[in-house]
Amino acid sequence: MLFNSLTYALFLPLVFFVYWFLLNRNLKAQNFFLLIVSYIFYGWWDWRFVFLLAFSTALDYFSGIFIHESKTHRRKKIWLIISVGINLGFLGFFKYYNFFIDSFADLLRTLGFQPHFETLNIILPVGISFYTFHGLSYVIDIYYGKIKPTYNWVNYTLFVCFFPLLVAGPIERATHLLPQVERPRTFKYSQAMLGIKQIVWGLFKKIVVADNCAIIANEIFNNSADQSSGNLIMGAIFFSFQIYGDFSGYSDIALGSARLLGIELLKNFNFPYLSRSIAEFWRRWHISLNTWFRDYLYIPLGGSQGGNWMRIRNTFAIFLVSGFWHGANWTFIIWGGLNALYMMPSMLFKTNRKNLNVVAENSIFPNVKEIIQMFTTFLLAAFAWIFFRAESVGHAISYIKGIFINNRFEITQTDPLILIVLLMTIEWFSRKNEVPLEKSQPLYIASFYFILCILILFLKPSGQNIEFIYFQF
Amino acid sequence: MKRFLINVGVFIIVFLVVNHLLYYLPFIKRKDYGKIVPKVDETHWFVFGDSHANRLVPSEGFKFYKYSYPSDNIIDMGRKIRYLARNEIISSQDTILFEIDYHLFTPYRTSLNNNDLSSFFVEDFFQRTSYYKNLYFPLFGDKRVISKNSIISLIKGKSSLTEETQKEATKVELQLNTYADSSRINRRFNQQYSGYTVEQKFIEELGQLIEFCSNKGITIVFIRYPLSPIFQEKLSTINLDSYDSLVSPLLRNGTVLDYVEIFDSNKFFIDGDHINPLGAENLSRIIIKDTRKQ
Repeated sequence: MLFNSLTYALFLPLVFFVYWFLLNRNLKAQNFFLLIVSYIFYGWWDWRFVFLLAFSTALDYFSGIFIHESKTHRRKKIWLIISVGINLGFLGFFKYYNFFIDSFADLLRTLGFQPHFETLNIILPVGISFYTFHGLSYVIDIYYGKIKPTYNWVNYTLFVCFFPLLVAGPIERATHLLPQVERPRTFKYSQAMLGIKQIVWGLFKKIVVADNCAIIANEIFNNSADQSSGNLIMGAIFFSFQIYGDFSGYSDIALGSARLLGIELLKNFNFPYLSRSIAEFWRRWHISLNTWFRDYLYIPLGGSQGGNWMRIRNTFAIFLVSGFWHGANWTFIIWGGLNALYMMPSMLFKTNRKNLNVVAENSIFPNVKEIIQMFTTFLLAAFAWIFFRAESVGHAISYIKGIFINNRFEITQTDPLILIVLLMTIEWFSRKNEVPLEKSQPLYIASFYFILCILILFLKPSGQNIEFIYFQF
Repeated sequence: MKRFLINVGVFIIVFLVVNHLLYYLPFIKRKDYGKIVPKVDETHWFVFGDSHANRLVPSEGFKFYKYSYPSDNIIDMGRKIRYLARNEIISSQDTILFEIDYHLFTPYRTSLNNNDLSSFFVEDFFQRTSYYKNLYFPLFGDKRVISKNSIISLIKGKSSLTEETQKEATKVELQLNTYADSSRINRRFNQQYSGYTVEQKFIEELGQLIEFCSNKGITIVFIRYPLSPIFQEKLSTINLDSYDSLVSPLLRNGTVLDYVEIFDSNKFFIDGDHINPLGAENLSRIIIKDTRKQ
């Protein structure tokens, strides 16, 4: 079920009504109801994979209990390995099987062999990377004694399968979400209004900005050989805003939907294109995934404690794994590697913890230095996005060559620029809040969101609803 | 909770009302769509198609009622024909000039369909429901109340309707040049023909329409509109087997006017695949000549 579909527009109010009006004050019934509708939400895409989801959830639920109740460290470790192994095994099979087969065959060919491997026609279960990581964080936290397992099957399953976060995050932690699932929830006007605003703002980012940028970005990337260097640059810029609008829009709708049900999810984006450095960018982009990698990969590997070499190694490790997490293609790995490379100066000079505050915190407009910093950071990110978007490494390289070698510079594809300017202007003035006009006069708030709704209708590209990019991950 | 429901409810109601009012704004509403022209003379020709057919202009030498509209698909055309036949505006003496361009049968014409603003041609409950869904909840429909181009043009200070009207009215030789640069032509072509395939629903609709017209004694003349030399060249690289195997057999018993390659100069085109007023005049003459031969 897509967030930007009529089905969801009917589904969410129905869930809201039953949840608050029919089941209010009955936590067990509310949680069970949310679990059922979450399975319906997931099964809407392909009901067969509900069984895989249920199996994965059951595995982590019982593994958590077994790890906790094991008397010896060795037994705990065995249960952890079983859980992590099976989880990653599923992920590896569905997501990476063909990639490894193809890459291995390519390697053998370069060595002079003629391998005949069969690849499989596998459907990637939507959201598998996300719910696998939910489960992994749960069992790892239990193994390290950070949390105790829950013995309530419904509560645990709801923590993994809660429909707003099920297919594209945010990647939640048991320490944050489970306590909310376990305690009674009351309706709060301010929380629900914030949720509504966030849903509208997310729809604006997805439908108006991302989907309109997608039309031009797709055209430029799909026909990159015929494009002028000016258009190729615009293609990279449009894709940068497409993926931002698409994913942050999704996250906003997820957070807003959860808030309507009295549940707070982890913030996933924090105005990343207003960052003054790459390190700041990665603190503001896909926050739940980056903190996951920090806590479960970077820190266990030693973090930044062991000198320059270890810092470099660990930084590359998390970015390369993060790239690979996104998809089974060398383009994602290079995208990760490129971002790790960008991080090197700040890691080596230990400036990565700079810029922890909001840009131009005490002024309306940024100063020249901040403008240059934000512009440079955006250009670096946009350059890396070329690899993320390209079909293959060869495609990305020819695209980049086209930017620098093509002698034609005319720009013919500019339609979505006005939407990008609108988005960035709104974001700039909202950068200290969670959503635009979070606190203001009710009339201003209503007018602003009213205009956003009109723009969503006016500027929606024709045709079917466009899927969210991160569904494929 | 009560306060929340009231606020959200009022917001939604006001939003729907404003959406409805916006629909009637003159620069947004496409007024020319859906008007039923009463029969006033002995004209027996009716033109149906999308923007390609819409370039034709009735003249003294070639009189017809134009029911074509930009981005109409086969189903829109069928709905109009059935409505007009049921109301006896089209009858057994009449001839329909029915567009069968290659792109009309592709998924392109599903995704890029017109803004179906008329309830005149709505026939049954489900279509009426669909009509109101598109009117009030276009976000979730296949079609939009107001096109993206309209608002983009509005931002730029002109409406696309005015632009369209001006194009129609200007009798100068608008030649394919800066308006249609190569990337725009490539884009249009790729949108329409990339991975060429025909949609079964359009084939079924065409078959049913042919049978419907046959039962009513209405003559159908099928027409493929001209393409610029650039488009012709590109089209020659496309595999049209699915059209040949699924559409062509349906046309065997009717007259087919194939004008795809009739013009060998760009001076007859406004872009890669739309004729300009000069092209329209020339094409009208050719159609008259060819249909008189029949």
